[in-house]
Amino acid sequence: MRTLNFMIFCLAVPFALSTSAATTDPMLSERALLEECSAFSQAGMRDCLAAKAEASRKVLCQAEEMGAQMLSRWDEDILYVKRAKATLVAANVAFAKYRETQCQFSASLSGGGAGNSHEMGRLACLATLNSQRAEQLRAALSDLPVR
Amino acid sequence: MQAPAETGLQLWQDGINKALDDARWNAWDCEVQMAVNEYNRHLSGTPGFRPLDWQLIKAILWVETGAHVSEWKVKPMQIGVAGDPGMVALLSDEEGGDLIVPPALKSKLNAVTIRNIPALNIRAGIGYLLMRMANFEYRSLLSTDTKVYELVVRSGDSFEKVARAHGTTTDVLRKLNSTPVVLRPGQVLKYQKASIQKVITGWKSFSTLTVARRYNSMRRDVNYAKKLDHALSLIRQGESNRCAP
Repeated sequence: MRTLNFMIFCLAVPFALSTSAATTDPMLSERALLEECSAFSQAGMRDCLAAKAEASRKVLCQAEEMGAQMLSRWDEDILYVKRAKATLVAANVAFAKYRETQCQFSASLSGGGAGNSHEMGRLACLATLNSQRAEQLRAALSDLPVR
Repeated sequence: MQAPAETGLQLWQDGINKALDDARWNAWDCEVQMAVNEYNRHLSGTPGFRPLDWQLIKAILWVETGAHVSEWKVKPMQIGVAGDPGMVALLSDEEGGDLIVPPALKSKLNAVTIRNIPALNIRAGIGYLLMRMANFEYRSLLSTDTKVYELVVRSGDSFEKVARAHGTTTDVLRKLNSTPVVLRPGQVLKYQKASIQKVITGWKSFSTLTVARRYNSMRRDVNYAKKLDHALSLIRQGESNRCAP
């Protein structure tokens, strides 16, 4: 369900958004996120990480949109462009599925911790994976020759 | 030269240091003391139990929420928030919650009350902490009926089968009967009514580090124990609300 919601949100993002609007450092590690949010109480930490996860979600949506745009402008035979576009959509769906399972696993590593510890693990994982995925997409498509 | 940026822990400490001059941070003092007293009375007969320090619970409240956070007025101990398996574990009784929570309180705790009534959120949080600090074992316990009964072994009987059929345990059968490993038909065995039950056998030591690990896990906030230390130190030097005995 989360995967579906994520995809719906991404489709609703205006096409013209630029990657320069990114607010999350893609290389910021999970540990660094947790340290930054540790300035708050546990309830505040959860809110802080929820904001990081939300920001990373927007960054990833933008990166996916930009990826599709880049492929549309790719200076290559249309057959290969179409093939790459279809593969990008499949990769995005597969990533979303992986992210959900991986972040559930991450949450489970809070063991018997009560309160926000599980949710904080999930949110920090989402923020990190989204940021890394956005950077991965940018790196993969940045040197594509365009028409 | 620019001063180095403060760490997350230092920033949190800066905020919490202001709590000493703010009476709102003592708002739950009496509730916490009442709740801790209820648990201390209920668990006083368990092996190795030492009364819980109410100020440690107050420190947990400061670390979990604090008076500057809206959740302070609803879920001060944060048990039962979204994604929290702790509340379910406490209520399920599968992890020993039934031995920790006083029966009168148990009837009041459910997902709705824990999430919406701060006094019960505090009590559920304390219950969960104590459940995580207790050591449990399954042991054979005699029932209140201590009479010694006799039974006759039938063909195909085993200790397990006989124990199940007569409401006792294999431990009791072996203790009351010096019989060989293999039962023989016609053999007479003595038994008392008994069952296998989960019991509290002891307690982990209460330090801020063990409490942090057992209540929070410290997997996400590695500073949790340090935050508890700082809060506890402030609480010990500050004022507390006076409560009715």
